[in-house]
Amino acid sequence: MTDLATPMGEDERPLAGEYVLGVLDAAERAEAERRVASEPAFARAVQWWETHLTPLAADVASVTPPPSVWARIISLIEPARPTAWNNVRLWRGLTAAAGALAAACLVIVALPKAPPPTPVAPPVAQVEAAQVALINDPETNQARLVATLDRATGELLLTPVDMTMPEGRDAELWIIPEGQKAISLGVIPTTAPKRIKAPEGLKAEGLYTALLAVTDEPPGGAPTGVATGSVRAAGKFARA
Amino acid sequence: MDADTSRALLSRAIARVANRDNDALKYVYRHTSAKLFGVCLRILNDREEAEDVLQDVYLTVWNKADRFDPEKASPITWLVAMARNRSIDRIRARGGRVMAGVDEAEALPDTAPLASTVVETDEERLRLNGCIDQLDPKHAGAVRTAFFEGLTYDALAQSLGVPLGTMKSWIRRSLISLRACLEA
Repeated sequence: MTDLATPMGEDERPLAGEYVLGVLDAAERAEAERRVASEPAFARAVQWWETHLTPLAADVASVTPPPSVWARIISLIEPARPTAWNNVRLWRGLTAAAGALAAACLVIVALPKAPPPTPVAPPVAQVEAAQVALINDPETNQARLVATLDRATGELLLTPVDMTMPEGRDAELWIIPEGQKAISLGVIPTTAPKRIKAPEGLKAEGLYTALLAVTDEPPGGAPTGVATGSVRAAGKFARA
Repeated sequence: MDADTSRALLSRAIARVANRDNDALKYVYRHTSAKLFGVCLRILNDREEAEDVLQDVYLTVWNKADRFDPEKASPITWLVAMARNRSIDRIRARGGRVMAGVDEAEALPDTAPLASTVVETDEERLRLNGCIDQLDPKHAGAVRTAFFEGLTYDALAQSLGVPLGTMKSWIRRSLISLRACLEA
């Protein structure tokens, strides 16, 4: 389009408004969407137009969609949480107990000789076969990550629950054995579960006293192997 | 229920969706899907495609609810804008609907009953309509048709029977006038 080759200034050409109104062609829309993602001022202009033009939609007749649409939506989201392990409501129910645990963990960080962590009631029968750690936001005590130790395979299953990192920061998981330095377990995804090998020497009893913590780090993780960001979540394994 | 209350309830439900609460998604769907389906159908003019886009919109809500900022946007604006964008992207992908009904070009937008729980406040609507009414009637018609149908400049020009350059100038001048009027 010649309009894009010789762009007019935003004053002459209200591009954000044209995008929101819907008159741009496919190539121009793609370019506008790229600018929304990369230019905060343009993104604000788009938001302004969305706020001010969308009330027109009140004049569009509502049409009830067929029930099959909701059935499809629910069938697509249900597999995301097929078991108790990533059932958020179940974990939410444990928040009170986990809060006390997280508080205890923070004390442990400060004082090497701390009381043993309060046991958390097992949420489901599998807890006897697999230990669970709730890694909570230290400020709100909301669960951010659930770590499940699978004894059969010696793996940790990490299930992010409600984890967000600041823009441009990665989540890095650390294990801090009692009285020792933090050991990086690597950068972890914030939206998808991940399995990692449980760290050597920390199986069985060692896991109960070690603290798991998530910090925000530069992309790819802390460059020197020592945490540089803030602690976004922390927690311990509970005894079954 | 007044507009402020329904807006607050909807915002809270979206916040719960961010915590993977599918009952909250169901609440959002129950209160907004008819409006969003109407918006999609109006642009796509094809039930099957509108159903696909609607599904896509709520799956996006499920996955990206944490991006919704109630300080910056009203929940229904966020949802309708998403439904419009997905629908417009879809018709652009199928090559545009160039002959979008010459007959409907001059037709006025629907004035069907509003979904009482989700619409913007009357104040915002009245203000926008007041500003649109200050435009040249032909320009106002073009703006409304563009919004409801999601037509490109090209399709809009053909549909309303004016040269492309004229249509661009109508819409751009209208947008600049609207911005001044809405900011006043």
